[in-house]
Amino acid sequence: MENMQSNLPLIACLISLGAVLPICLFGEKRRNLREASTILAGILKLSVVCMMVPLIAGGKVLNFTFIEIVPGIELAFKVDRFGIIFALVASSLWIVTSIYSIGYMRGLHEHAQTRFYAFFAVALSTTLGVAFAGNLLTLYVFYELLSMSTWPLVTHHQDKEAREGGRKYLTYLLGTSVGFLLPAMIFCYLKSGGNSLDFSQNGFVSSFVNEPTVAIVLLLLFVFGFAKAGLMPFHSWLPGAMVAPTPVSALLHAVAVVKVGVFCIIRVFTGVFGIEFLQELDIGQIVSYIAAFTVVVSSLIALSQDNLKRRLAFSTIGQLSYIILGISLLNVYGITGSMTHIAMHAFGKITLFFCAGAIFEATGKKYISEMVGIGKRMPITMIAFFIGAMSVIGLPFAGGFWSKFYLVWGTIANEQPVLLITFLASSLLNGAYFFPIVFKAFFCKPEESLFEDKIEEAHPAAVIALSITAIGTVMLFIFPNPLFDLAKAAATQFLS
Amino acid sequence: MKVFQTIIAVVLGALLIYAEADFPAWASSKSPANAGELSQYYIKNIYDETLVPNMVTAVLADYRGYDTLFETVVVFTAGLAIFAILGTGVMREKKTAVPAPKRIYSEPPFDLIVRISTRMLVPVIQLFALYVLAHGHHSPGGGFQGGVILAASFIMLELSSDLRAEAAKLTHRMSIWLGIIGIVIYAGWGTLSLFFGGHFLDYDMLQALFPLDPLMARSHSMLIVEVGVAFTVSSIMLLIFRQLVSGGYSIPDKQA
Amino acid sequence: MLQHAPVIHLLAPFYAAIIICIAGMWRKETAYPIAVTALSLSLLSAVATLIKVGIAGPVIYAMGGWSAPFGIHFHIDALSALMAVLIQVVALLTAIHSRHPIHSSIGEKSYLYYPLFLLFVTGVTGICQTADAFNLYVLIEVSALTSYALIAMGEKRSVHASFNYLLVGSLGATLYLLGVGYLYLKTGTLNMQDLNFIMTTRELFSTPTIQVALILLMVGLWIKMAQFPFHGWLPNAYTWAPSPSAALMGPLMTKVMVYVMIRFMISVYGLDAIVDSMWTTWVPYLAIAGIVYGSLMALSQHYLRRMVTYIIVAEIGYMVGAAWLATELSITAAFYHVISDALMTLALFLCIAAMRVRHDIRSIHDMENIFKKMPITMVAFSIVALSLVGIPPTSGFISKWYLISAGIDAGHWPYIIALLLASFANAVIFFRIFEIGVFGKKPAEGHHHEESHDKKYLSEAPFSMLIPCLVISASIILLGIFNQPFIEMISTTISSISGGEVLQ
Repeated sequence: MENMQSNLPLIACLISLGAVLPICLFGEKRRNLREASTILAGILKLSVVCMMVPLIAGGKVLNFTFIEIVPGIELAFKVDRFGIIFALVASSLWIVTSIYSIGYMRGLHEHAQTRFYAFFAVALSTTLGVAFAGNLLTLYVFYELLSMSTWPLVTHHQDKEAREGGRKYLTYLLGTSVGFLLPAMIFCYLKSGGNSLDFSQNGFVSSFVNEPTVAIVLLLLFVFGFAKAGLMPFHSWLPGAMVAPTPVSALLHAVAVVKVGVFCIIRVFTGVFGIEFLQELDIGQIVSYIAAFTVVVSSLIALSQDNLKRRLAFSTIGQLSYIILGISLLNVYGITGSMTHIAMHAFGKITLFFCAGAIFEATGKKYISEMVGIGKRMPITMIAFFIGAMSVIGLPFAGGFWSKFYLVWGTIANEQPVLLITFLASSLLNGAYFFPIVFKAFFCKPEESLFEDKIEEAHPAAVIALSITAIGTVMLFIFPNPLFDLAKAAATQFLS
Repeated sequence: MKVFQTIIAVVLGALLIYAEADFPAWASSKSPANAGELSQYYIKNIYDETLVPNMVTAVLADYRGYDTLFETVVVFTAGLAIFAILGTGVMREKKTAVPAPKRIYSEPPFDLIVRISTRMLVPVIQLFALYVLAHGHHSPGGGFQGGVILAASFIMLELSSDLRAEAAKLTHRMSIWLGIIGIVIYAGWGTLSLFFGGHFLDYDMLQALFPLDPLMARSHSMLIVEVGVAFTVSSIMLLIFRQLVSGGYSIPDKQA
Repeated sequence: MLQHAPVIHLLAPFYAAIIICIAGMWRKETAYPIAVTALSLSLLSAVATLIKVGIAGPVIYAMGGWSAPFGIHFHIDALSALMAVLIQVVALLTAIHSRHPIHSSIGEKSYLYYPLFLLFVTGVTGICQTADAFNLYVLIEVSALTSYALIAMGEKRSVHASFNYLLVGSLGATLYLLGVGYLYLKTGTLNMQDLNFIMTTRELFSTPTIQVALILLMVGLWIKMAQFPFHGWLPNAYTWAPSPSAALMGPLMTKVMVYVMIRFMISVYGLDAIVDSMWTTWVPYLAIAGIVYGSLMALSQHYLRRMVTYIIVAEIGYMVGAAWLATELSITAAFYHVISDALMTLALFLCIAAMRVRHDIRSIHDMENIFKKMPITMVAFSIVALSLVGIPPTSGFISKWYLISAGIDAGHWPYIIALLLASFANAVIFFRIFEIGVFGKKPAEGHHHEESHDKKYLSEAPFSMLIPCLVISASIILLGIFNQPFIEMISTTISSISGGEVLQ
């Protein structure tokens, strides 16, 4: 692993920030130009990220240091394999989401679209900032900025629900980050002699913490501090945030915001504490059990939800805990599985959300009970939904199969039957809450169908977007290797 | 509430008494204020350095002249503040009268004896005020004291006779002007030494202006700044009196 | 001329005040340009002094040419120089901003307002630079008197509020004077460095007189800085004052008193005398009470100005608590927060004034759709709000970082919890404002679909008010990102003072 100075991370991060100006200037009057700026920025961003991939796959680490902001710590980017995986996922899905948003927002004649696109761009900037962060402080800075920049998106509709949802959002996210994360971070800073909070191979906590109790408390402070990962009991903001327009739910709450949460937790495990240290003290277990609990409970709650987006939200909570469970297994399969599941779940979930939004845009339906027979009317959408569901459940022909495979393998390798059963049971539950939707959509008696027999999909841009992600999910199944090689190399590195 | 306040007062008193246990003996020559390096230096060196026998004035106007400048500024500010808050802000008395409300400007009853005796006393008082000012170097006195006596003489005059007529002789604008002049004299004198290469308020440097020896330069500079102080203090005292009495209204013309 | 820089930024506002008094008698319009010019000049001078101090160490300027302790000295170290620059920056921006409000509210008397304004600046600048305890009192008097007048020139109940302030403030100043008197009684000198020297060599720190002197000094200063429970004068005073007065004094008056408190703690008494005393045990709790009280009261306010005044009370609690943890780190944190908070308070007052001028907004509930009406001002306001909550990379986050570090370092967990609670409270306050600003008072039940017509709402503040708002918000971010030079300067100075460099 060799270090290399590079401006690429900074450029990638700032591209979307730079897009804010044209977006605001073009405004609603020249909205085609505005949309074009977004998409152009997205393509540029993806290209810069892709430029970094070969370097990183070859084993380099790209560095960019900005300024020393606190004695001993700089705002710095340090891009490694794990970071680039996340960055790839986020930037590629931004383009798709932008296409989708065009369809969705225009189809519904939404208000304040300029504000929407502008804050979206800012949110993506901060997401990449998190992905590239080289130390805990930089991570924290961008984490907070992400919370701030997504609040206007969550409260976009500006109605009573949005206000409540927004309040919950902020209370949970700010409350945990300021209440748990900040003191934990400063504590580490002070106790480590004010040297650095850099993510290093073996973590830096080991230099000043010896007892398991302190380590556990610190670990839990971090894990709960990153409430974006949706671990219970700090998960309520996620379903609350479903008041946002679907593109927001799709990108942010399937890809950016929640994945930032689990990304940060993985960083904490691997870079702050270090896998070896955690193995020595054997404290991964606690997090495993919290995650397992979240998986089961959220799946059960999902079963009871009739609002499609809420069901998807609880499904997300469960899937996030898969990822956390994976990392807490502290072995190569678990870590690989969790990293790849970030990507797989992103593609799968975003497809599902796109479909939910398309259904709402085309028919105005939000509730599953109203969606009987919708397959006849929106076949493309529902097929995509099916593919997404398969990925989330972990069935073959969808990418999620591979990541789940690794996760399960990880539990076997650790000889933890309880966790294995958790995974399998939750897969069943996932099936239980997804399949009926698909089934009822397609295979219902003509009399039961609530829709007429003609095909009338959503706005074309939306349909294109969801098809792209569905195809992406399948492609990830057929060609998993690039992703998995990268992930495995990263995992091995964390473990060595 | 009263109980609360009583408690606070008692606590404060107790603190003060507790501290008093430790005080040096009353007027002891060995107390730090007397025997300390600072005081001893003053006692020994003031006359040699400034040719001013009155140590208090010397410390006030020279060694700690910066303090005195700002004390003067405090007086000026007080006047300005009252003028700003109370006054109508009209500096230029218009030829048309501003009618004053009846309750203000109480007309003192006409008393011949008071009026005549005041008239005879006032010049003497003013002379004494100037004496106090000028003789501050040698006896207790100085700018503040002289200025106040001067102001008191004017106030007495106004109180004993027709307030409006007397007051019209020295308008608000004039008062503020005089106040400013006083400060300008003081601060300006200090700034002059900047131009001559010394520090602010360093009278040493002004020997270039005076063809006297440096020590006399100090003594004379002190007199000059004291004059400035007197200007300010007297005019502002008068201004405050006038403002409070009139409730801020301009002095109307006699015909009003 | 540069060697006289310390005096220039003292005298420039002073002379400008006099000139305005004179010139204003003829033309009122000259007041504003003269004030702005003078303050720009003094800002340059203050920056020059800061640079000089940064390069060469403390600057000593003897008034009247007499050396200490016989005369009055300016002893300008990094702390003083930073305060001086801060004061000039705040004053200049407020002066620029004041054109509109003064014109509309005070108008006739503006030629009296600006001299008082400038004399206040002179007063606080003098406070920060002097090394003489009694001189400090004289300048406290100057700044206090001018502040009473500046406040009383406002509306409605301002005179009453100012009178209250006058009574309480005079009490505070008196206690301070009494404290200085006791110090003089025991040591025979008034110069700060000399006081420290004599008290250390004669081991006077444990004598009753000196202890009581400390109590009197501190209580007096706490009254003047509005530390709970002596804060009663602050809310009314700053709520009813004219906007420029509040903008000038809110950031400065109380923070300068915090500076004086720190100055006495480190230069006169010295950290060694204070550490491990009853003070470091109990005063942080007083501060915590202030933080909690201020935050809770701020939460319950509707009037914007009043809300800000309670936020000030809470912030003073941060500073007092940190300072009285009495470690070098904690005092550095407290001082950095002085600068950071002064800027944040200024920004709040400026933005509020801008909103009032254009749309007559006085309370939170008037702020419907404010983001559409005054987007640029609200950007500035949002930055300040984020800084108060403690979102990186603003200076508020850095202050919180250092304050929490100081708390962890000293092991004072209640203080840290109070800080975090106050952050939450600020978040609630400001996001409530954002909600009203974005959603309007009663958010619609259904789903909006109509497009908003921005143009007809847009009514931004005048430039003279907008530019200072933007400059301040930018500086809040810049101070946050580039905080290292300042922190270094501050902590080096504090260590060198505490390290026993006793200067004569």
